[in-house]
Amino acid sequence: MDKDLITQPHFLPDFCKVEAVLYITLMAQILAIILALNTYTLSGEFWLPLALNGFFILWVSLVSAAFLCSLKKVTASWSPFIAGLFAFFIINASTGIITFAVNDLLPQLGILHPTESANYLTNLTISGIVSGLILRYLFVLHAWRNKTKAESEAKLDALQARMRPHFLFNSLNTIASLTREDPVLAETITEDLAALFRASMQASGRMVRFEQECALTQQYLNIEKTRLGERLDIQWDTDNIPSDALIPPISLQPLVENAVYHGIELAQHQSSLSIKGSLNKNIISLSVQNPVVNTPTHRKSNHIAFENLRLRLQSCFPNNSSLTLSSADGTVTTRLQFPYQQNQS
Amino acid sequence: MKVLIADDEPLARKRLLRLLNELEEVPTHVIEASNGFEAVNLCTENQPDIALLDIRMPIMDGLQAAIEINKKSDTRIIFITAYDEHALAAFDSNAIDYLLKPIKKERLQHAINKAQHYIPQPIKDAIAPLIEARTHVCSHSHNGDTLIKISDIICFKADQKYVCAYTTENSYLLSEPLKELEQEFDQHFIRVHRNALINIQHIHRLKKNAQGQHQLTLQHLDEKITVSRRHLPALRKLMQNI
Repeated sequence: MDKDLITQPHFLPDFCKVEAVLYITLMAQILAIILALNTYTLSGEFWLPLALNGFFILWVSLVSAAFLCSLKKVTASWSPFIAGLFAFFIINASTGIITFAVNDLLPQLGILHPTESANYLTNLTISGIVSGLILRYLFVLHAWRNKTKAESEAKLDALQARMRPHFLFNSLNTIASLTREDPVLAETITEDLAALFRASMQASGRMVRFEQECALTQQYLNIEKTRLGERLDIQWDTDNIPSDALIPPISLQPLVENAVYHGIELAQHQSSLSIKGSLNKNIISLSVQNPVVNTPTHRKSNHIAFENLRLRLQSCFPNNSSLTLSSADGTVTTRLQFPYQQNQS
Repeated sequence: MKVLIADDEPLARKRLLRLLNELEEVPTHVIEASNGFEAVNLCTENQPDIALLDIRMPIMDGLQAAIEINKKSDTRIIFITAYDEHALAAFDSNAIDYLLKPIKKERLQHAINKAQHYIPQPIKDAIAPLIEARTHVCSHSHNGDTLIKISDIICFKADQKYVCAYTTENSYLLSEPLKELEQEFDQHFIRVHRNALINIQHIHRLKKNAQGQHQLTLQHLDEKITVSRRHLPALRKLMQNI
């Protein structure tokens, strides 16, 4: 019924993982406690049934896990329904085998006294109900995870950095002016503008190499430098950052764009925009600094762009990144920090 | 026809200049300004027929410049903007026309034709809603215009006919009523008396004098400001919350 929500058929956890085994052990003990509590209300005994049940259920679950682990390559290609049914079968078969071992095999070998309470019907009923519930829970959990993942990806797409309309139209105006004054420069600016828009339209959450983001920011600054002339003085120092470091696409560029929009464009004289980068203890720190221009009106769009970038960072580096804005001594600094990563995680 | 163009980008000015030279009636004079304040001064000096003002400019933006220009001359204003975030289209296009960048020659021709025919009228009330609060006020005197940064002003005091703005170094006469200044700058200034509007940042101490009057000492201003009984509660409340 929820099949269309499933993007991966594998809703069963990887039973070969230590985590999964630990989790299974825990679940088995909880079930044993519940059953022992039930015995306690009926007969007043608790510790012995707990030990026996615990032992029995642990065996069942570990045997099932071992089977599912060894067969995971086979089940991976099956549909969720078949895989679920198979897991259900494995768990109940294990229950049957262990019950057989405890009730018949071991007493026959003289190792264990036959128990009165445990029989095939009760054991299989309990195991059937519990395994059915657990499998259903895993299935629903998986569907829910897929759904939230799809939702957050859609949100991320919507969050993809947008260029300021001001920037677009001012750049077009610059190009219009240059087509007659300096056609060669007009051509370069058109190419840079195209590259910027292509990058901002490529809605993907995948990270890019730092050198790529730098190139993009350079193209952006190239356009602004042409437009603002000598009023824009750029100091670039990011040599310490490895070029293969991964960074969310369009993350440095908007900080630089913000600095130009608020700090350089409205300044009367030449102003410095400085971009610095450092790598310290595996943390990359990027800062963009611009002088404060005295304007009482702060545009709200600024905060939206900032929040947007923060959310995108959060999704690329969960709880591991920061974006801060500080002002001191007549300058505003935005600082971006995130861990040095070379491979997509 | 004398035309002033104000834009902070040299390339934008160059293009506009070229377009003006391609019009049916080529302007006899074109004056260039690179910010709003320069535009105001050049308009006072040259009295152009038309001013083409970019909205986003350093020091003083096009909207503020338009208000100042409009006060002292019959210059018709045409705004230029890259992106119409100010919703200029919502305003009466007979009073304020606007052009979007990159400007089309036909559109410029149309705006200039229209501007030559309309009767100049006060535009302050029309533009004021577009401006959150000015960053500067302008003082006109025989020495020319002086631009005063709002954040530099310690207080405004009304004296009979004029309003005086006090900064650390100087005082300037303004032609705007205290009531309007109070409304516009209510974020940073508070009225403490019928004749005084003070910068919240400069409040130093409030004290009762021998006559039982409340007096306010401001940083960087020797003169004490009398606080009227009517404005005392609001001032006290503000001082507690700072």
